[in-house]
Amino acid sequence: MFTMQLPKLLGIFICFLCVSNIYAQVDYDEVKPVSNTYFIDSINVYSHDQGVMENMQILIKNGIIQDLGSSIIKPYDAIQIKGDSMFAYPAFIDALSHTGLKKEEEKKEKIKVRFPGKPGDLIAGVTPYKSIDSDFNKGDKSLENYRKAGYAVSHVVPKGKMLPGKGSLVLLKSDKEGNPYLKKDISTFAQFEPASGVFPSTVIGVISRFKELHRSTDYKLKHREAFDNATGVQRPQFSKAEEAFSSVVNGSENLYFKANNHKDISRAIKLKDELGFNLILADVQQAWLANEKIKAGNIPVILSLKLPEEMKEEKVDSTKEISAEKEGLQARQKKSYTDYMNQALSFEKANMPFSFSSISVKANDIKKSLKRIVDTGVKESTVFSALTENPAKLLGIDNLTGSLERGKLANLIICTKSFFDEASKIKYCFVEGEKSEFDTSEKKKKKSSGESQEIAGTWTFESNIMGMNQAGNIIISGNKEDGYKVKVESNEDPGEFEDGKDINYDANELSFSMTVESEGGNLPITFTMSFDGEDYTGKLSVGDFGSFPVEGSRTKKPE
Amino acid sequence: MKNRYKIYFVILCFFGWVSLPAQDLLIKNGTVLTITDGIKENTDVLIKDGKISKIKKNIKAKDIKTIDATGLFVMPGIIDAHSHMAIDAVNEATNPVTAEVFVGDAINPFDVSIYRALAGGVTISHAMHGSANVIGGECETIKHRYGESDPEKLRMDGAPRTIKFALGENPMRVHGEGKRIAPATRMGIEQEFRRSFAEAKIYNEAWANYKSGKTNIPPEYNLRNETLAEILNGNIIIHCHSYRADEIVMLMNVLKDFGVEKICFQHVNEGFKVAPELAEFGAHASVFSDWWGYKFEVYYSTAYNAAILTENGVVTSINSDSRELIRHLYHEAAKTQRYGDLSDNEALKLITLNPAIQLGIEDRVGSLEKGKDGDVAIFSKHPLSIYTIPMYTIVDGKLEFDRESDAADQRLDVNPNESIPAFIEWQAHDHEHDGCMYGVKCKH
Repeated sequence: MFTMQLPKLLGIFICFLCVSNIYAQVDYDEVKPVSNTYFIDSINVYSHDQGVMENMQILIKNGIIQDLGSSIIKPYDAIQIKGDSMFAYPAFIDALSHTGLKKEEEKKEKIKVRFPGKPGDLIAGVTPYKSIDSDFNKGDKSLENYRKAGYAVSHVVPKGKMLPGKGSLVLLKSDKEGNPYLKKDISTFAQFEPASGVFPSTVIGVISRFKELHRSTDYKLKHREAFDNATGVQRPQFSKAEEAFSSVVNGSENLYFKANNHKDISRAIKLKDELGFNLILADVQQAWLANEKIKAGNIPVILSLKLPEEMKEEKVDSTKEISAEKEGLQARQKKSYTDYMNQALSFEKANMPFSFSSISVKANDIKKSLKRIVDTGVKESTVFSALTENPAKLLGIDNLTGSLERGKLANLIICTKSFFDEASKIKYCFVEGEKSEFDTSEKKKKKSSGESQEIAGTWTFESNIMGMNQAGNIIISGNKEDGYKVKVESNEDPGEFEDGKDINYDANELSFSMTVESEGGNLPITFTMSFDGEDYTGKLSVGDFGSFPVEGSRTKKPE
Repeated sequence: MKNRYKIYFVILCFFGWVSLPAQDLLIKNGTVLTITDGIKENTDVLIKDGKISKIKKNIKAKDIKTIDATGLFVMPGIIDAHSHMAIDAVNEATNPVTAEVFVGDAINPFDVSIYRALAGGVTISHAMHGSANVIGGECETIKHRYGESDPEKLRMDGAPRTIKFALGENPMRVHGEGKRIAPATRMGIEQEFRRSFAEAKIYNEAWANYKSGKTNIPPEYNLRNETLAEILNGNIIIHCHSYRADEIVMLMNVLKDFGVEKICFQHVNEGFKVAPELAEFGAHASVFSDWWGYKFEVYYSTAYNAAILTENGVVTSINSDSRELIRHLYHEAAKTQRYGDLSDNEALKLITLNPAIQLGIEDRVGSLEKGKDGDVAIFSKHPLSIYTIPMYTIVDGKLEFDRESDAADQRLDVNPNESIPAFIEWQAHDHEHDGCMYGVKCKH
């Protein structure tokens, strides 16, 4: 027995040594600053009402903006930051995100349910009682990425299916010791996301489950009222989901409904009209068709920072004639592109306030999205409001943050130039007075070849091909010196591998092709993947059907 | 609580009506096939505020959009009592009974199939739940108001509620074979109905007691039983996927036991064997003209089905169940003249007034009469002629299809990042889900 255990124990011991070593390093890096008072002088300060105020001073103490003005005397214990010609803005608030949450674990084994029509709430994705804490990691890299992008507060909602749980307001601090919650469990998150293989497995199932939960909770509340006010009444039995959902039904909590496209928006509004809860449309990407309804219903909206990919001008081959049909299709696609791009503009024109969410984009891409939105003609001040004061109001924290004012939390960013200036970079991000400083020097561009990363390992892929979600794993073996081998496994046929052919890897771009059998015969498929660390994005072209975006990340590295 | 829903509903209806694209239109000098009042040559049809206001010769009206129908045939908009288009979900196949789901919750106003149906003269379709479950979800009667992006505007306001039932191989295969749960047999299917209705009856009584104040606490709310109880209360019309005669009779017996009257059998390929029984019960039948043999229980079929049912006094319609077939339902109706010698008017009724009766909307559509909705299809020749071509299709007085201005690309929702696909009619024949012989090589 003991001999069996020995290698294991040794392993644990070695691990322990490694871990303690890492901790020692981390502690060394994270020496607390000598003072928690900061004095920023001669800086341009952005104010929602007055625009940019020049030559200002900001005094930060104990995480609060202690003072803000033009004649503040620097306290002796303050760390001074020279603000010369730099710009201070209230740090951004992400109105809906998954920041800091663990990646969803790949469940290889399907849970067997005896009666798929009556699964438990957990498998059905009806978990409105769930908080983010079990999945939130204070040390997650994404927190730093968001600080770099200018964010101090994030409304983090849990991952999951139709009712994943409650959202909390998180301060994006690097401090791993403290309590990260600005406010906990302030909202309920919903999406039209069916469960797999069990009820609700379709959008109509999701909607019916939602209606049923809302109404049954409503009746349970009536029952409780009867119980509280009389004797001889049977005790009401709330399910866990009903208990948690009560706050939505009685109106004390807002329901954030993820509604990317027009159909989802219409469906969420219809549910609100039928049931009467406080709806907030979240991560909206196609609102303009429903703007009138949204305005009439006074429904708060969070626009997505996900924008359509920039359209590349196709190289015109003058020797080939473009058919009138193709020309027509391209023109319609261009019009559609403009509609998607102008979503925020349509809100500004209609005097409808909005906030922004980043749940569908990467932190690194946020600034680019914001610039593209400003390029459509949206005022910079509108964009700043959507990133700061509007989400603060929506989330009920406008007394705490969302603007640079005396007494508010010291959540601010300092940029080298005006935020939307091409050369502007964020140098500091303060989150509740905790300073992060970022490198603002020009980065040397990477050489295109020779520095490609190693890509061996298991990568997920996910793509929506003409309305059908396709997902699975791409297993890459070998190395860049000797070349790679590729195998593809679809989630629909786990254990069945298809080999990739014509494999080519250069400048972090991998391409390969394969053939799959389909009802109509063999279908050629080509993958093009562009790697960035542990993630990639790319395209999947499927026979004559066209090509579709594909993305994924590495789940396993070779040992 | 109920009242609150009602008020919401009333408000919705009110706004719905006000913003409907009600329009005025004058159709001049056509051969008008009224269905209920004979054929009127060289006659005009005037539509005001979306409703037919006059059918007469030489109607004079100023400042009105006019269609010259000289030499053309004017008929009521075609109605398809069985379709699955314009919805984003068809089967919630996880449970043999899913009366709680409603396809009207997932209307897809952007489905280009709506436009293609308009191009075949179809103005109304019955978007149905699929046949995976013994009791599927509620269905939705939609008007083909293509171009409206608001799903609510496609709903035919005031159309009665309908629900999908299914007998035979499909629910047995999905649940019995697929999931190893009941029903695995035809007798199992009968018991699913009986159990569901029995539970709904108890549920209904419990709620009646609460609402009348007999009990002081609300019973456990259950959306499935809410819907089933409304079937028992006579407020929902059943549309039942069926093939075999024995099962059809079985379901009628179950319904008799529970006092349910409103039913339309769908497909009902062996309906000809029990036509008198169907007529006596007052059940309706919605059939294919000549589509069969796509699985074992559909072998015993005949193209005379519609004619035999009609001759026996069963309200019969011909449906498409397909986004391809829906484009030429007038051909399908004409087949009943080759097989069964139905008169022109009887044949046209199969795709107009009769499906309207089956959907409970015959007081508003299905024929050209004063006061009915301005839903009209105009053809180049008699609609039962093999050479006819649909020229115009009108919904609520609004010209929705005009052959002259039929644009090359009729999609409403274009993904800005999708590469432009080559034209593939990849769902044209969407009946493959029924094709048990699909992929099996046959020796001819």
